[in-house]
Amino acid sequence: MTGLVMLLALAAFAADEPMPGWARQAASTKPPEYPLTVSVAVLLQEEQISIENDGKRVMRERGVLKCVARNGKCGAAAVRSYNSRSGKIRDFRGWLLQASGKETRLGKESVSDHGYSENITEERYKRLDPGDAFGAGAVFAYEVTEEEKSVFTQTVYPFQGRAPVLVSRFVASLPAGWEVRGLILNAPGKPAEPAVSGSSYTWEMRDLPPIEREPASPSSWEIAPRLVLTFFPTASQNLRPLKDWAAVSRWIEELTAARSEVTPAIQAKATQLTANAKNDWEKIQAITSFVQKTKYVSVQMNLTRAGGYVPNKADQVLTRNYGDCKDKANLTKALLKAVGVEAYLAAIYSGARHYVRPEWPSPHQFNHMIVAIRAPESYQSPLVLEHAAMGKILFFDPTDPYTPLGGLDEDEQGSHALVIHESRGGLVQVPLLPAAANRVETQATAELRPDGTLKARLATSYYGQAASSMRSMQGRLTAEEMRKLVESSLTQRLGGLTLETHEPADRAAADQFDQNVAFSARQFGQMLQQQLLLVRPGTLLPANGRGFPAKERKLPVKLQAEVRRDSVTIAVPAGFSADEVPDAVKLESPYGTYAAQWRVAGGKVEFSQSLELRDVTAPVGEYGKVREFFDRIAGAESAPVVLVKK
Amino acid sequence: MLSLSLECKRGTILLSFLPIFLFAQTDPGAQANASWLPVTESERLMKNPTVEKDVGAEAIFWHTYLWDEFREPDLRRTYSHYARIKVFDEKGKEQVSTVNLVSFRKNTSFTSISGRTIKPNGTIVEMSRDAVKDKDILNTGGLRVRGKTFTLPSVEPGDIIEYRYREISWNEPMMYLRGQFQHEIPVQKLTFHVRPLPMDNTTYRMSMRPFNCSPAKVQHDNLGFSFTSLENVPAYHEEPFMPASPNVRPWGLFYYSNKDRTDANKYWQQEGREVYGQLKVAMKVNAEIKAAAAKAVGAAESDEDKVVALIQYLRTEMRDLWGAKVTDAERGKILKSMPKQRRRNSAEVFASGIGTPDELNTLFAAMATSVGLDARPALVGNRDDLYFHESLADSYFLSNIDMAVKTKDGWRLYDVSTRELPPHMVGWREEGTMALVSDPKTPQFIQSFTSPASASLSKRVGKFKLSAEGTLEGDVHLYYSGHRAVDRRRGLEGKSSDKQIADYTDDVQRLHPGGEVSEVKMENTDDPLKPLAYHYHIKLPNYAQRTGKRLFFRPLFFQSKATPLFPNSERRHDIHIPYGWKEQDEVTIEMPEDYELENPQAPSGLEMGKPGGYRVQFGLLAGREFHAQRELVFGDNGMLLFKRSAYPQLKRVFDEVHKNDTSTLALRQKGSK
Repeated sequence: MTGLVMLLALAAFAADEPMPGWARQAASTKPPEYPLTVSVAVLLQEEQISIENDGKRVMRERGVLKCVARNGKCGAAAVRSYNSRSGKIRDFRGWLLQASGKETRLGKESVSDHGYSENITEERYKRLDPGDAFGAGAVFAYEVTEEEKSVFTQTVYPFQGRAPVLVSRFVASLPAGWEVRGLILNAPGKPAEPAVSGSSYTWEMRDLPPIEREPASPSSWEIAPRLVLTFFPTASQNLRPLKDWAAVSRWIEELTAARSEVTPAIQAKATQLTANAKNDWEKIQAITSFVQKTKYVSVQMNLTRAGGYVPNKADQVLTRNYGDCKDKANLTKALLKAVGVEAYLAAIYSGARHYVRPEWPSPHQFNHMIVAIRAPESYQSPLVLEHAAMGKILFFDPTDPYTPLGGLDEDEQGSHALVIHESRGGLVQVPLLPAAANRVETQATAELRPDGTLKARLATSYYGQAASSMRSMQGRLTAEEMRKLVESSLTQRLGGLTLETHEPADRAAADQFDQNVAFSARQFGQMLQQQLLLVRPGTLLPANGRGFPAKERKLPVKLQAEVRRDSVTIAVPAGFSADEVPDAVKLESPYGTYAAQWRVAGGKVEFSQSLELRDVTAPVGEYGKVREFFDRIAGAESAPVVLVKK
Repeated sequence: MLSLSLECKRGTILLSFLPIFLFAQTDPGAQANASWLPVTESERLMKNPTVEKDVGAEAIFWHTYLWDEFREPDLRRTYSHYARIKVFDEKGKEQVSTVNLVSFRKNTSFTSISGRTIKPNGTIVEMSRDAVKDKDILNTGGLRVRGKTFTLPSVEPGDIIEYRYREISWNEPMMYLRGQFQHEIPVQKLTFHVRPLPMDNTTYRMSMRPFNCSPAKVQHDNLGFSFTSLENVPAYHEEPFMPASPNVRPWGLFYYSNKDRTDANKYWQQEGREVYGQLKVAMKVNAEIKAAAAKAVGAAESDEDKVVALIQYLRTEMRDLWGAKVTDAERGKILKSMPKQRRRNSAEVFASGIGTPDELNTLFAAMATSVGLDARPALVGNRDDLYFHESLADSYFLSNIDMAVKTKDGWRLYDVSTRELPPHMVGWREEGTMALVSDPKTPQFIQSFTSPASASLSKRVGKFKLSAEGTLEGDVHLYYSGHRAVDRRRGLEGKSSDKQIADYTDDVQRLHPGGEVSEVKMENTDDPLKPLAYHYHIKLPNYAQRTGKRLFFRPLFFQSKATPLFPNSERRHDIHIPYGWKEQDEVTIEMPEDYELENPQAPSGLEMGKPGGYRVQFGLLAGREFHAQRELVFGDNGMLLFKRSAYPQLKRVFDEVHKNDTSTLALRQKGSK
């Protein structure tokens, strides 16, 4: 009975627990003025990790957020991810201090539990939502404790998300005898030395500005400072630190090697697939094409026990005909092995080319698995890497069903990948394809009638990643849906029209996709006073302008290499001659080159343009020049030719 | 005795009576959909779809079994599916080989999941048990979203896949179930088997009412199921501006009832009285509500003013359970605390500060009654669901509760929960539909008011100066009212005014990328009594295109980036416009000094008849000021639904509107040749 009374007393105490001192102290900080787009400032962000000898980790995260909007509400919540199989959220509590001074304790009733995605069953998050009361001037503080058992001796701490942070701190408490080495990425000049107190190590950054969303900017992962740590346990533990890339490669190889066994089923499938192949290259083509068609299904299990790096057995994936990225990469490796072609798994980061940093050897830097194939000596491609120990290797992503062998996703090109091998593995830089490999060429022929209606045919060929985008569209949509999409897209730039024919043709073997369309536009040229005819030939083509807004830029501009070559020929009604024809345009810039010219002759208006963009990240200071470059292109593409009736 | 009756839209046809006591001791679930049916050679060797061309997969059959039973003391519903699907290509493989099952119900689970892949040569690959994964998507107090996912093994084009599963619910609401007769892929033969609760357990009788289809005559199998079927059902396709799917998609409503529905009028009279009785309890007021109501109406004298005051009060003081201002955790807590067998009464809703739209309307009626207004709950149809007609004798089809208040002109509907509209308007879903005003004696149907197009107005005013370089600079004022303001106001909800302004600035800049946007202001963001207003200043280089001796520009600034309303030339469904609207634009442009208009010509207007019209006027004001006025009205006089056959005409009209909206004028440099 006494126990019950005490329990009730404790519960009552917990329900009224006032905002703790650390939160109150942070709440008293006055943040600077931020742009209007910033509504929440993080006054304090702190993560404390305590590691035990067996690898068990207890992480305590604290946050103090202030609603800096001058009025209204701030949408913000505390979110903590966890793995339901190897860990749990032990405690999640919060406090809300409104501008009026009213203080509210946020307990269990404010916490909701969510799954991350449809297919990942273990990865979850809990969310503590302060709700509508987190308005102007209010402070929301929270503390969450997570525990987890992990085989890893590394961790990552992002000092900020997109919101500005006044104080961001990471504290690691390690067992006696352990050592730690840290690096701070994306913060040039910031020393990574921690403040040390006994076995406790503290890294801290202050006054981090907001990272606003801007078009064509690098991913926030490539900008936000993050701390990466490697712990070195004493020799007695089972935990194994990864000292360099060779060690990381070896570690993954140990986890995966047994999974690519050439079983009779694998051998039989490889033999069947390559039955008509005349050489190694054709064998590689046949096998990669097959694995691309293996359905992608992500069911990751046991992530904190390194499950995220262990593929299912290749013959199991073959039987099921589905798997995730590592399953597909591993199946490719096994099938190639069965026909005598060497291939290696390659870990990579998908979605941000510069995310992986060579200075921190860690499996935590990757989120995707592709394959590095030993290419035949005769094979020539800019995507082939001449590796000192492995010879010619060609990267291939079997998870991307739309990019054939010889091509690679834009973000994977030029990024760092870890080639997995017991002794020869290591981090390499994936080659970057030239701009011409990613190009679009259009030929438009049209006839303009005196009432302004136009009958036109557009023949467009897409190559490289441009072809992959088209293939992706064709793969996702029915022919009717694709036709409607194309019609809508043409209507958006040309007004009311009727699409008469739509003929897509995938020529994957040549990494080319053709699309021919014929349509009648209701109004293309505009007749003015029954005398002038206004024609904008460039508008028949998809625009190349980027629409960069005229406002202060905060982040660099990331451009990807591409080539466009277009020509337009429009037959105009009899009796019209040129009154005004735009001057030719020729632009040379660090971002690329552009040329356009117009001609009126023989009853036809002719327009041609070529654009070559470079793969470049322009610093913030050059934003004006980047905008001017693209604005001039947009101007040329919509420039009018004025015809006059004789 | 069991009966499954097949009702058509006009009248009820009782098709069969079948004794089921013979099966009372057996579990029909053990036999229904319990074994794989033989696969024929023609199925295995099938090369092309037969129902609809250009599809990657087609169901050869899709058998659904629905059976309800008492398992004392509980009520169990089993909903079982068995689909056999032919895969024709990679696209089809992607579309059908992974199956996701999701349930939002707490006491529902998916069981007996099995699947297999059949190769064209007859080889069978069974799906292993571990291929079925659990999904626990959301867990927060009273709200839980869970499910299962599985991928069929070894699927390649040419294969047949088949799978079965059961969705079992315990003690969940089971009076109504919408059985879908159309899926995301075409189906050659779809059968729906039903075995309702035995009539020795209940006086309720199950019926099925089909919509947008003519299922085969109901038959009976030896497991006690009644069944019907449909053949060659194409895949479901969506289009913009289409009627809500229950009006176009084949489906059947399976429902229990113990009421006589043969005389619809009699049914509605009885229903209207019952609703009154049920909601009267929920409308009971306590001292706290009375005091709040009295305080809310204050000195308001007229009934109309009292209504407006009460609605304003509730919109300020109470939150909507499904609105952005309620957190997931709060929502879960309220749902968990909901009484199971009855509605929350007004006192409970008022005390919690949060209510569903129906609860808030009931609370409104309670408060209105307490200040002397004659207010009644009214069941209202929903134009975003099945279009209602009185012959649909089931209150299921009147899914919302609004409040009817008696005015000098008769009953008028109000809806507290649509906070973004002025009190005298209800959401477009409830406009122009029937509403049953409850009454202890004589309930009556009223037609809900359809607001005129002018009540949903976009008024845009721009005053600019055009430079000789082609830069347009000036001030813009935009005003949105009625339904035109609803989505905009919802988009602003929960944002600080700084954030609202920053986001709107981004929107304008996205529309006019080269534009420098400044002095952005917004007014009446949460005051539906006034038009939502935006104001900004813009400097837009290259608005006019400059050639050697001319400047070309689009005088209708607000339409300069517009795209046609109907971009596609082909159409599958009828056209449904949610509400009528009016656009009123006024643009004044001061022209550069050295230029003059080169014989300007205003585009012609368009007469659209009853639904609306379009007109444009150009003119020159004093000095060098060019003036353009534009007006577009559409969907007026309740003309909101158009037959598919009218689509080409409708498209032509809006293409013409777009053509005129984007017409160009030329300014010629004075003295040039």
